[in-house]
Amino acid sequence: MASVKLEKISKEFQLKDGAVLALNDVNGEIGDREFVSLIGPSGCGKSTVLRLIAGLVPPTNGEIRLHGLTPAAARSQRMYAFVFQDPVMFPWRTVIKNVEMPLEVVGGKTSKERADHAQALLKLVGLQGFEKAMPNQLSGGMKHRAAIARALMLEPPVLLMDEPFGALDEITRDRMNLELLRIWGATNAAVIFVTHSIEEAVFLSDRILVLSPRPGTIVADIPIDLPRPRTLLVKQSEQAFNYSTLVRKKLTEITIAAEIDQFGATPE
Amino acid sequence: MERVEQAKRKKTSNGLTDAAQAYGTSALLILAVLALWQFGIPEGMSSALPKPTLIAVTIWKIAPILWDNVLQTALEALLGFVFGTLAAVLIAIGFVYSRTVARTVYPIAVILRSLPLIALMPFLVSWLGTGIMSKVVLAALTCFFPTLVNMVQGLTSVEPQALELMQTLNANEKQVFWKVRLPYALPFLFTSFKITSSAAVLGAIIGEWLWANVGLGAFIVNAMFNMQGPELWASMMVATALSILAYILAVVGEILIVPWQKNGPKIEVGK
Ligand SMILES: Nc1ncnc2c1ncn2[C@@H]1O[C@H](COP(=O)(O)OP(=O)(O)O)[C@@H](O)[C@H]1O
Ligand SMILES: [Mg+2]
Repeated sequence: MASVKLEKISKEFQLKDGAVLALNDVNGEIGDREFVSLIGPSGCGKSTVLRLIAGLVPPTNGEIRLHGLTPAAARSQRMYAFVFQDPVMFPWRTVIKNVEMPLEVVGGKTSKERADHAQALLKLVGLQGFEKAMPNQLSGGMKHRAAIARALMLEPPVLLMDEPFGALDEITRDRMNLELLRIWGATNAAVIFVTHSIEEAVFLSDRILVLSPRPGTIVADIPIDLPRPRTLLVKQSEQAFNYSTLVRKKLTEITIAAEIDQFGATPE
Repeated sequence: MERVEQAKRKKTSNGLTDAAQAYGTSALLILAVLALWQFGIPEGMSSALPKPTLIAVTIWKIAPILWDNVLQTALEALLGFVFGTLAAVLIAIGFVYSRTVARTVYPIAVILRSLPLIALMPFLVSWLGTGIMSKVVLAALTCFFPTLVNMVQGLTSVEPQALELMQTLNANEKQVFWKVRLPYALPFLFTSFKITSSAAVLGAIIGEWLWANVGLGAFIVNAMFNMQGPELWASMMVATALSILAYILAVVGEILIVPWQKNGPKIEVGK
């Protein structure tokens, strides 16, 4: 069974001065343990796709299923975890208490069990020794590691990540990408990863979905056949470069199409 | 070298010593004013403006009587602070969760705030008598509005992403309140405590001015009518000290209980 299935999704936002069609006829299937990136120019509806899957907003039309369940049912069974661009750490809680939050909300575990589980995950994301630190003592990258540990707390089969490293500098982002692949390898989760970095998408993904804007729809579905485990050497390989070129070409086509839409086909 | 020293000092100093350092300069200024007062005022004015040493001696001489009055005022202020804060916090919660409460209470709160509280005192006395209750209620009223405003703001200005995170965890409203909204609002509460702690003392004293036999306010009025300059100044100094003490307690409470607030109450701490 597909871990996430989108069927003929459209999403219209009602604004004061009329409606905006953000997504139209979006179809897709994400397999178990698959790593899929969603790429497209900003404002094309990437976040909206994730928020629809998470049930944070309802679709105008179409059907969304996570392992056969509706988003609401999937959420009550904690089938997904959402990682936002901002790490969203609560400043009054220590790092480990932040990571424990999902299990606290679910309940049914002793505080010792919670702490042990959180500790193991902090070790997995490379934050051992920082359990008792306060979030404001961590660097940007470390906060994102903590946010990922928290997302893994309930062992969700689906991870939804909305530009989680978008605000990090490039060097930190490269390191976080390596870490993410290592962490993903240690879990059974399928990942839907939103980014606007082509290189990041190529490096991480099994498949890249290219989204066009206004209304957002999937215009390309590009399998990335790079060997795993992926190292920075893979990232610099000619193969990876060719994939990046391919994705870039798709994105350029979208941009040109949008410009023609706007200014007409034959500028003088 | 110097940088290392500075870094070290920064590392070892906590919120409390930071505060102490900040107040060191103003302490010096106060000392300077006292010195000028002691030595710079012409002799003829000393009945209206007794020298600091005379005030100090007077405080020492009438300390037992002052102490009884201080206790009375402090008790009224404390009770008023507790009740005023409790009422404000509970109503703020009602505000956030019920539109009806918000619509009903908000206009009343605005009217209350616009009323000069001193004008309320005759009514309070006629309802509650000349005893401690009328002063407690006046003190409570002085605390009420700043706390209500801050608490409503604290409970409602949580970052949307934090609420969305809780939503993705399928948290119920009770969990969102206890795990996010309330801790998020605590720094706002302590911000209002820095105003209401000494406002409660002031409220109690104003209440005593009008109708009371005991309490610092009553003592001040008595000393004034009896033209007891040094006693008047002594009791005013003690009243000021009590008010400052209340403020300091609020500051210390803030540093100890909501230490994360130094960096602002934002949840997305940095990027
Ligand atoms: N809550 C909302 N209300 C109105 N319009 C929205 C809302 N969320 C998104 N949109 C619109 O939908 C489109 C897609 O937004 P989004 O999914 O955030 O894009 P992306 O994440 O690709 O940058 C944008 O035009 C945006 O203005
Ligand atoms: Mg987005």
